[in-house]
Amino acid sequence: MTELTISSQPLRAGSGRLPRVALALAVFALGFAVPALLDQGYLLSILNKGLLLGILALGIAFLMHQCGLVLFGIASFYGVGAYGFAILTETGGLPGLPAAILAIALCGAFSFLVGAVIVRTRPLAFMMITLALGELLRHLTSIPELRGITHGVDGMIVNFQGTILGYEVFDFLDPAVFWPFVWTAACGTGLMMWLVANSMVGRTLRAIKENEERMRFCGFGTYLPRLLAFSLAGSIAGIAGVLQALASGFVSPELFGLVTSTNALLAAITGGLASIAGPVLGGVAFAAALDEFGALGYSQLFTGIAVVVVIVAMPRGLVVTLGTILPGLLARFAGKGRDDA
Amino acid sequence: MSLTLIANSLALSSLYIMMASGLALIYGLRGVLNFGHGAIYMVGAYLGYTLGSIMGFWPAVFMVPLIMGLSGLLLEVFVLRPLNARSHIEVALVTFGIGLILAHGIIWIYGGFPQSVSGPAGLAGSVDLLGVEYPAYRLFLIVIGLGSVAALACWLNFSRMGMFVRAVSQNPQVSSMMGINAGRLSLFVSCLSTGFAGLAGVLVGPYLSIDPGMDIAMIINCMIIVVIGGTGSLFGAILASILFGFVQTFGAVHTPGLAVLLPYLLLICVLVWRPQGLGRGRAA
Repeated sequence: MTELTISSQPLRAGSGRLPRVALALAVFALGFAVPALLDQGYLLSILNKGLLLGILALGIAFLMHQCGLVLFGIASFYGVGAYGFAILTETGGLPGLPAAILAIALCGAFSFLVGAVIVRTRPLAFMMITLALGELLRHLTSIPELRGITHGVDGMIVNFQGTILGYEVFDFLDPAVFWPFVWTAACGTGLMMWLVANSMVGRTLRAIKENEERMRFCGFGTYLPRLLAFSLAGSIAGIAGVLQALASGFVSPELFGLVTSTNALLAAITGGLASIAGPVLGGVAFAAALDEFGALGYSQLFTGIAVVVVIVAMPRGLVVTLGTILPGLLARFAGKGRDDA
Repeated sequence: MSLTLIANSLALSSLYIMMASGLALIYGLRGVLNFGHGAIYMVGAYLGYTLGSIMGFWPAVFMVPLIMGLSGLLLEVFVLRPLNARSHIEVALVTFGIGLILAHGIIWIYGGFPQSVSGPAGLAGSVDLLGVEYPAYRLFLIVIGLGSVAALACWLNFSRMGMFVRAVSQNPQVSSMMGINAGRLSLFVSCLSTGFAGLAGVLVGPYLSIDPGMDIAMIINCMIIVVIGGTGSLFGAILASILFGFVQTFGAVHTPGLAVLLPYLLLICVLVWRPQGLGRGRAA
């Protein structure tokens, strides 16, 4: 039942548009000052990782909230974006910026094709097929026959001619250079998701999720909207993939692995599916926690415990749960005891 | 098609049958796909390795399915029942998390390297199979795999409890209106399912080796099988297991370079042709 009450709300449009828009713009602008505020490159690199994970989580949360489809294997599209960029610059010989744009477009086309086959399946089958797709691509990039293009299990070093907005390929290894790109991408994809969710397409999608048969009786096509939503989520993962290739300067078949997919899915669930900020914050929180536990070698164990605890205890996500608990706690602390409806 | 190749395919298929039929049974009753099934199989394999080195192979073959079957009790009472009201996807994710914890626990205890398990002395040699020398252990695997599934099919088709299980799998609402207690059935079916996973785990040791990545490899293959078979359809799952075993074995021999891709291509082909899978699954 909780799920119903969440999904019947659109992503909060809110009253008083103007202050919110101003606030969002201010946050966006302030974001660029982050590298100057954090003089530690280490913290910034975790933030970078967190935002990349957050972008992936955003795609998953969008598809889960709007369509009820669980994109378990988002690593497929993430990896296609990263490999697309690496191959286009190396084998294709394209300069950085066109290669990045083309790689994202190719990833969008790829997710459109994949979606055309799989959005018709049942939700559970859908979840498992996307999982299998990631494994398929992981094997495909490592088979010896394609070694000339993908360099097999060794992976590829990312290198491109020219510059992207004045930066050369090695500049991106610096977290402070990378930050504005990933920040812009996170805010841009967030805005895009918000716009789609509040459009006619978003409303149609949520109605299909509630009752697909009824929507068909009412004369709505149920196939195309879901295909579009799926392609959108895939393209967003492609953006994250290209950025990942830039940030690490390296792509390998592990990008397609289960670990990427589960981390992103968990970030989405941890953050909460019903908002834009939730998955992104979930991504940052998750990246920080992974860094902490990964250093001890317990990242998989942590992931397992996190998924059980979050789903059992906080089904609406960490951000929403804290958001409902914190004001009450603060109010009690301040002795006001006000009710928030 | 040589006889050896067919027998090899059947040996692999019978392993998948034991796993996939357990998954399909729980799915049919609860609508929940147990993503931790691969980890249960892994626990069974390592438990078989330990018990086998202490007591010998044969006692382990009987003990491990029993112990794992009892662990199905825990799965039912502590996971599936408390989360019954939650969406099926959420429960599936919880089982996935439990699977990760179990697999990590095993790696923590046994270390992250493969172990080899020696088979029983009586089945070490090979037997004459219509003029071809064939390893006796694999033949034993085929007999156990196909035999246990035949027993399962008989139970489902000819016993009263089996009839109830089929009824709930087909339509949970109507069958509960008819007075079938799905919860009680599910307790038994959970035990059966994890017991089968344990059996597969203990039998896989001497056939393949046991290693820390075996849970993920198995669960992904099982997912493909269950989707090809039609989620929740037991007979679809059996059919798909056999198909999958043959495709994997023949692929490895005839197209070695592309063999790893064949299962996924099979999945895509079946889905384009029949999005609901081969078998007749749950109505909902």
